[in-house]
Amino acid sequence: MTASDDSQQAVLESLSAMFDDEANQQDLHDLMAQDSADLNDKMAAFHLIQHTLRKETDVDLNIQSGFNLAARVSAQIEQETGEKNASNVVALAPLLPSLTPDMVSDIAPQKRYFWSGFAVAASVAFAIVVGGNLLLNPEPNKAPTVAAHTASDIDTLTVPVTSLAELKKQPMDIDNLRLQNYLRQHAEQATMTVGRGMIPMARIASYPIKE
Amino acid sequence: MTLSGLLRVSLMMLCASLSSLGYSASNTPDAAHLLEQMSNSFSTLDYDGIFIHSENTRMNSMRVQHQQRKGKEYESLVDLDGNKIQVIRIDDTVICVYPNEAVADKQVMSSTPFKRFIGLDSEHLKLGYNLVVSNKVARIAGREAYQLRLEPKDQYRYAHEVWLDKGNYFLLKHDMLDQNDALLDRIQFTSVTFDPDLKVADFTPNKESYSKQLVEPKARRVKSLWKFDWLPEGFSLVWPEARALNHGTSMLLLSDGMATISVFVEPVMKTKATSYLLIGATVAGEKTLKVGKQLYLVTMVGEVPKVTIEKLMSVFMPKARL
Repeated sequence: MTASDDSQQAVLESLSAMFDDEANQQDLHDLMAQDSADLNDKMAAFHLIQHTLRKETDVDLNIQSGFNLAARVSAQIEQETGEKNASNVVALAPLLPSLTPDMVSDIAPQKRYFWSGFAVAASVAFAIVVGGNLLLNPEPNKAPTVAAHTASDIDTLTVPVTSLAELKKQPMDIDNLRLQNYLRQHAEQATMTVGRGMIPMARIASYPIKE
Repeated sequence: MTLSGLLRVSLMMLCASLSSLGYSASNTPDAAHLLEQMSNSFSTLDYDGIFIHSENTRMNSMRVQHQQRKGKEYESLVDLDGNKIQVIRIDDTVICVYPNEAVADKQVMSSTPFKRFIGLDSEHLKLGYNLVVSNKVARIAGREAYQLRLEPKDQYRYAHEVWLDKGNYFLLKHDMLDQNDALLDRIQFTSVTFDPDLKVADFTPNKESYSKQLVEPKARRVKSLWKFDWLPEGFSLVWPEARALNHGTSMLLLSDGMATISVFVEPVMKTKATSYLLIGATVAGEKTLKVGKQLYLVTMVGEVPKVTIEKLMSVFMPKARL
C-alpha cells in the first residue's frame, strides 16, 4: 500500500469516526486539513458505501446540504474544546504576532480595540473550516448558493460592540489566529501590490507576540 | 552646420535629456517619475539598511537586505527588537521564521500575476491623490532626499509623505497621515548602504530557529460571487477573480495604487457582531451578512480610514445570478 493509499484510508477512518461520534481531535484536524472538494467527494462516496453496507435508513447524514456535517464537527469540537484547558488552546495558535488584551492599555484612547467579533468560541472558527463553499455546494458545476441579488435581500446583523472591559476578560486565541491570518495575508498581498518591496511586511512583523 | 545651429541642437539635446530624467523646467523632479523610480529601486538595487517602524506609541527597528543573485531576487526583513521575527523572500516565495517553538510559515504565491511585484502606476495614483514635490531637500539617514506628498482627494484614504534618495530614488522615509495630518504610521531608515557584502547565508533561515511549519491555505483563483456597488475613486480590484482559501474563505483585493484593502468572505453558522479594530494605520472590520438562508462573515482589512471600511461594508453584496 502506498503512502497515498494510507492517507486516503486515514481520511475515511476519520470520517467514519466522526459519523459514529468517536472522532478525536486528530481526526477532526485531519479532516480539516483536506481540500474541501476532495473531502466533499469522499463524503459522498463514504455516505454511499456506508448506506449500502449498513442499510441504515435512520442515519441522515444529509450530504446534500453539508450543514449537518459541519454542525456535527462543530459540536464535537465544542465538546472537546470545553474539555481543554486554556494552555491547550494557546498551543493551537502558532507563534504569530498576536493581539492580546494586554496590548489595549498601551494604546492611545482613540486607538482602542473594540473588536468584539474576534472573541468567540473556538468551535465557530473550526466550523468555518469545514463549512467551506465547496462543501456547501452539492453540485460541483453550480455556483455556491447566492440566492439574493439585491441589497434589500441582504440582512445586516448588527449588535453593539463589546466593551473594552468585557473584551479583556474574553479568550481571544482563535479569533486572534483568524485575525493574524488575515493580517498576514493582507500584508503579503499589499507587499506584492504597492511597489514598496517588503516594507509593508514590517507592519505584521512588528506586532507583538503573545507570551 | 553653423555655430548657432550647433548650439540649437545642443540645447535641444540637453532639454530632451532633462525631460527623460523627469525634471520640469523649474528643476523640480516630476512626482510621477519619482514614484516610478522608487518602485523600481526596491527590486533593482542591492541594499542593506536598518529602519524604524512606528505606529501610535510603538516603535520597532528592522533590518532589510536585498540582492539580485543569479537571476533571483533575495530579500530579508529581520525584526531587531524583541521578537526576532524574520521574513525571507526569494522571488515569489515568502518564508516567515519565528523564534521559540519556531514556526516557519512558507507560502508560495500564485505564479500569476505575481511573477514580479506589481509596479507602481502613477497615473492610477493620480485618481486618488494630488502628487506634490517639495522644493526643499531633506536629509534622511545621512542622505539627501526628495520630499513628495500624496494628498488624498477625498476622505477615503490617508495622506502619504515619502522621502526618496536623491541619487537612486530609494524610499528613505514614509509617513502615513490622517485627515488632521496626525502621524499614523512611519517607516524611516536610520542607515542604509547600497553596496552591501551580502551572502546566501544572509537569506537562509537558521535551522535552529524553527521546527514546525505553519500550514497555510493555498490560494486558488475562483469566480468572484461578490461585488461592490461603489468604490472610492481610484480603487479597483487587483485581481479580476477572487482567491479561494482552502477553508472556504474567498479573498478579494482592492488598491488605489498606494493603499490596499483585503476582503475576506467566509460562510458561517452563527452571526457575529459588527466590529472594528484599529491598529495604527490598519483598520479591520467585520460584519455578518445573510444572503437567503446562508450567513457570511465579511472581514475587511486595510490601511484606510475607518469610514472607508464602513462604507465598503455597506455596498458589498452578491453579484447577480450567473
